[in-house]
Amino acid sequence: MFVIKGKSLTGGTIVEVVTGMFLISLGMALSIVVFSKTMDNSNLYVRHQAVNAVNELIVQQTKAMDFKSVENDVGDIRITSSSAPFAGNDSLQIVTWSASLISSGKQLYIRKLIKNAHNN
Amino acid sequence: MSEYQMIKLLKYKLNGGALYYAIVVILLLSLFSSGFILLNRIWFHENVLFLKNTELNDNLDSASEWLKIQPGLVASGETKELDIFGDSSIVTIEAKKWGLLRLIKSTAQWRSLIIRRTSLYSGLNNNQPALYLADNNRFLSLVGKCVITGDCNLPALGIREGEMDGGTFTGKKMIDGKISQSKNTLPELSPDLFKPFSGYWDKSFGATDSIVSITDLTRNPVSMVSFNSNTKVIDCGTNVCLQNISLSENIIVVATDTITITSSVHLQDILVFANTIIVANDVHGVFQLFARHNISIGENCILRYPSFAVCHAKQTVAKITLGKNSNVSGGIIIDSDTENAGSNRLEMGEGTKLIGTVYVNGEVGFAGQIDGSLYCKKFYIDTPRAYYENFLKDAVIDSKSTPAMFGSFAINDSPDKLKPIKLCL
Repeated sequence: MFVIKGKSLTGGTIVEVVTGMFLISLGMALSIVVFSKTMDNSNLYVRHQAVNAVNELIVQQTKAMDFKSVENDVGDIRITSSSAPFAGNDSLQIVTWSASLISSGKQLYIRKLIKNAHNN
Repeated sequence: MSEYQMIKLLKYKLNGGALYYAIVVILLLSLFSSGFILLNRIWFHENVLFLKNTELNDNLDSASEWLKIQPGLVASGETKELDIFGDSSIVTIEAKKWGLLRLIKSTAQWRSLIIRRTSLYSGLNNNQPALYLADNNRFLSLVGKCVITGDCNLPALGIREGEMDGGTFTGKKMIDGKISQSKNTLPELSPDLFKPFSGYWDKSFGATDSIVSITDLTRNPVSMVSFNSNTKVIDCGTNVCLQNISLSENIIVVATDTITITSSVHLQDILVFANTIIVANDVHGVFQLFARHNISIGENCILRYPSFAVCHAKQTVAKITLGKNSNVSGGIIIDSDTENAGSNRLEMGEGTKLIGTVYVNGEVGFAGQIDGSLYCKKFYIDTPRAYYENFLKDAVIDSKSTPAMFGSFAINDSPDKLKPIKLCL
């Protein structure tokens, strides 16, 4: 048992210490959860990189009028593009571009557009 | 622990030390936690707004792409909700006419985030001929350096090298394109082309129009009305000479008899309705002219794209005259409901340049250049020596050039595709 100056702790002090320890642990746990969640949600640099890479690919493909499937790795980010026929009109196609983390597979950014490959 | 011992334990007075310490620490931690929660909320909100904003803009772009290739998707005067990707990506599209152009208002929404776009589009038909000359049992005779690029519909007698004032055809090739036989009448102009606006000639205004008198021009010489507001109609009475004013976008100027436009006027995207419209020399601007009898465009005028000159007569003859070195980029229509449509006339001065579709249900005094398509019944050249019918001298008609692809109007009012012109405020 914890001893101060040879005296045993009274019941009241024990309650205080236990309550204090409990509150501190609760507070710390809450802080850690919220901090990690915040950092996870923000991850600004990676998201910024993903947005830029996807937008750049869209500009490139639109300029070339070529919407073939592509898979590029930029650092820890995988950029993919895929196209599917558009039900409303045969001349059009739905092109989807997305960026996801290679390590976790988490999707960071996605864009979907109707494109005309024979734009004239 | 017995009940007695528990009561005894709780009877002790609590010393503040440890508990106060715990409360202070938990207060600090709570502050940190609250800060993180707030930061998280702000970042999340910003992130969601960014993603949704991109998504809504992409939906509007996609709807525009769909509408460009399938103009019948939303006809003029209709409002439709389109589920773009079949996953409740709803875009609301409202289409109406603005003169010979199409005004498309599209809206996409997510909760309180609403994105609206208003754009002007022109129409374009596939395989438009460079020249459609109605079959009037005469040859088409070319003289001088004529260049006709694109497919042509010509009379059964066909095309030949002509001779005029001692000169002959000096070009390389008479027609660079396929030749098909034309009918003795022109393809019919759709009555729906003018339907939404034909009331303005008789001052039968729209229910939502905001009508002001000519005194408004004196009070507000500079006026710009958004296409998202009600149309402002300026009723100028019988005759008016417009000078030192600036009118932009959703404005219609109406007079029962004559409207004269001087070079001091700045007009952008507006419509002008009168029986006779006179455009003075050196006028520059973007506007659509709708006359009942006559349009006269002076010298050195530049009516930039998309500008149109329409003369649609009821009982009389329709006529448009273009002065020397004037340009009209957009299109021209000359037609009448009379049986004597052959007397309708387009007179092109030396060095004039037209871009877009030119439809003349009558004769054309050709001089200059057309980048687009020309539909007419016959050509004429009136010289001091003689009057030549179906002669073209030094004419350039090109339906394959870049300006010809800008888009104009569709004669049947059912364009194969739409061309975006501008994003409006």
